[in-house]
Amino acid sequence: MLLYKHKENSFLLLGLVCLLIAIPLFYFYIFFTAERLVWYGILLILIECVYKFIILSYIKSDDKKENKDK
Amino acid sequence: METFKKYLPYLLIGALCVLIYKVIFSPYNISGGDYESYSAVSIINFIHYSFSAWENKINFGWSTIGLLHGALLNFIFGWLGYLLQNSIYLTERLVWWIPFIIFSVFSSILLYRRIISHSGFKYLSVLIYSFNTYILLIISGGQIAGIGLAYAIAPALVYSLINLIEKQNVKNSILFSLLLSLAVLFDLRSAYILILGVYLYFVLYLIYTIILNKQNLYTLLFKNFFFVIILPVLVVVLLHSFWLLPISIVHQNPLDQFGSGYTTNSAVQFFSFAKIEDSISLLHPNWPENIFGKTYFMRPEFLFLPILAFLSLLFVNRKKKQEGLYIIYFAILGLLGAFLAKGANDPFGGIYLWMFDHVPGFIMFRDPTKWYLLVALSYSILIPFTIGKIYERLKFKPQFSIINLKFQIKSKFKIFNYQYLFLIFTTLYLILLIRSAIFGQLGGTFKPAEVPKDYVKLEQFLSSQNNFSRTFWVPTTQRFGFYSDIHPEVSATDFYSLYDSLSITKALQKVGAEKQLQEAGVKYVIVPYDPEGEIYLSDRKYDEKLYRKVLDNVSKISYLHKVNGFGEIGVYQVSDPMDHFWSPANNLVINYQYNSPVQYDVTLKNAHSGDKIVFAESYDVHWIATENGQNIASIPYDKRYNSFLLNKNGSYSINIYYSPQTYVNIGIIVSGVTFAIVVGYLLFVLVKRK
Repeated sequence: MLLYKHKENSFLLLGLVCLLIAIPLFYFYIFFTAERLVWYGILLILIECVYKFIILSYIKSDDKKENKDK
Repeated sequence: METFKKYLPYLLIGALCVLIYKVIFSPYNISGGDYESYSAVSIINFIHYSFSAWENKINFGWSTIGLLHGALLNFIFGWLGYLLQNSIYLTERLVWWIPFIIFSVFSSILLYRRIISHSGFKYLSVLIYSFNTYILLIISGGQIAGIGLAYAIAPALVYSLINLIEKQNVKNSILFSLLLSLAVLFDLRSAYILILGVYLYFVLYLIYTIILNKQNLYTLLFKNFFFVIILPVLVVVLLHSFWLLPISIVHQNPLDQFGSGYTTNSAVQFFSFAKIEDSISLLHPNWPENIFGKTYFMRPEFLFLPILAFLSLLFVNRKKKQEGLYIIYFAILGLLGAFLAKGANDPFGGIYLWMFDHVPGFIMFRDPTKWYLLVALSYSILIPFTIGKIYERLKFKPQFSIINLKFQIKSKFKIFNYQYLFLIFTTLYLILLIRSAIFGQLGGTFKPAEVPKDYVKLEQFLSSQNNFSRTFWVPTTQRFGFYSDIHPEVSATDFYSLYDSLSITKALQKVGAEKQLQEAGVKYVIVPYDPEGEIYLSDRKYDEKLYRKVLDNVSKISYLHKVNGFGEIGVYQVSDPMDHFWSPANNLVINYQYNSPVQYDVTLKNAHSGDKIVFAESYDVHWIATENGQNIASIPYDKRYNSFLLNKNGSYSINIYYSPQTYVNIGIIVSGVTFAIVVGYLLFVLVKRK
């Protein structure tokens, strides 16, 4: 759904929320769920990094296109 | 007040340095983990034999050509020790400890200032980089001279590569090459990690530039290739030719001598102590006790670190593209480091095992925690960046609302506004994470160590004997045990390949054990006293009963005679040990002169053709005897030692030489000339600019 919506920072925020929820779970020794949340959190942050990198790399190209059109 | 506020962070860093590294200000020796306790004899050895291709002080010697990359540091250690009148106390502090603290603090500041425009939070970068659980345990484990120093210069290396990529010229390329050479000098594994880490930025930069500027890949690569890759590789290879040249000619894999325990997949699985929640949280799995193999439940408070770090991505501004690229690079670097540092553990542990088997150089990383370096580098930039951005937001928003209620922040006290409270809170949190170090609960090198008097007596006793003989330590060597090139120490564990102390004592009782020791040149069998609790362990805890049992078993061996006067250390003499050179032929009289670990002059009297002389050093095909320009190859004796078959009758001299030393000597000249050219060029640029 996040991929479909394509909204910036949504992967990152969800990833960070996963890490945040893992904190109390680790505290209460609920390791299985906490570990999985950390895995998913890292994966979501990685997707966000790639997404941001692509966006960052393409910005100027888009600007150039716009300038040319003008 | 303003001045106080300005210097407060520096005071904090200074106080942490003093509190955590208080051991260097103490009058005691430093010892623990892999940290060697050197004697005054070591200083002389370092001066003369740092670049020696053969190490002869431990067991039966081994080829060091794969381990010579740090020889220059040992050489400097030796000379400084000599200038300081053999003071190990001062030398180790001046060569390792103080440079480590200075480099790690200032190089992280250097990188911070290069990446982040707001200069106010550089102390946070230092706090994260120089005082995290990983590096503190590396230091506690005694690895300051290698991994520690490489870690300390890592941010400067990233800094110099970023400079080089953005401004490509010979000067920047040479500066980067020098730092890379320094990293290789300190620690090969850290240098490998850093090369991967820094060139990741290069790859991202290339992709970014190709898409952004729509440049041709080949034009761009050609432009970058020379300064960023070819020149640095050339300079590093030439500067390190003193070990790269012999290793490439002799084709010796330095890991071969360590056996399968270092190179198998099962070793990697065993050494994968960190889970991904540890590595992503920059939490060393053995924190704080640093007991090998003893890991702990996840400490959840550390998970705020990755949250703070990756929150930085939220502040990536599309308008500040360069800053954005840096942040994305450091975020990917952190994720990569965390993934690799967990080794063979889930998720996708198989990837690490595959890389260990297939990626060149990965075989050095059976202990995956070395990859924490990338996480530390990443967080030392990302966390101060996030904190800086939040700090700025708090500054510009004195009003905030919750649901429909509006609040106004008013503070008469400049220091107690939300900005400062946030900063104080985050700083305290970072300090809280390393509280064990601050309260002096870390062991290893952080605890002052005094050499027990019995070991001092043993050193005096052995060093007063000028003839060659070995000491045989049951079950293994002790960190304060004396050894030198005349009195090498042999670990019984290594000798018998047995890892159980009592099995070793049984092996010593067997028929033929005495002859084995005599042929090995062993004069004393020593049962060490273990005040550090490192040798006699049962379930990772010191076992006094085991020590007494070993001592009792050894004292009952009939061919050993007790030497009194060493307190708790059991010292037993072996009768009639062989010399370093000896022969099974009774007619042959052998005299020899020890020139260096790689060269001996041997005089033979009454030799018969076909006589064999045994050289009691580990067998290596490159040991060669030369008689009047004629070479005699070494053949193994008892599958352990070198031996040479004489082909001439009479009395004459032969020269025993470890041949790879020739390539080391040629390499030293190449490295020296390269260093002179490189430094000369930099000085020329400096003078020209003035």
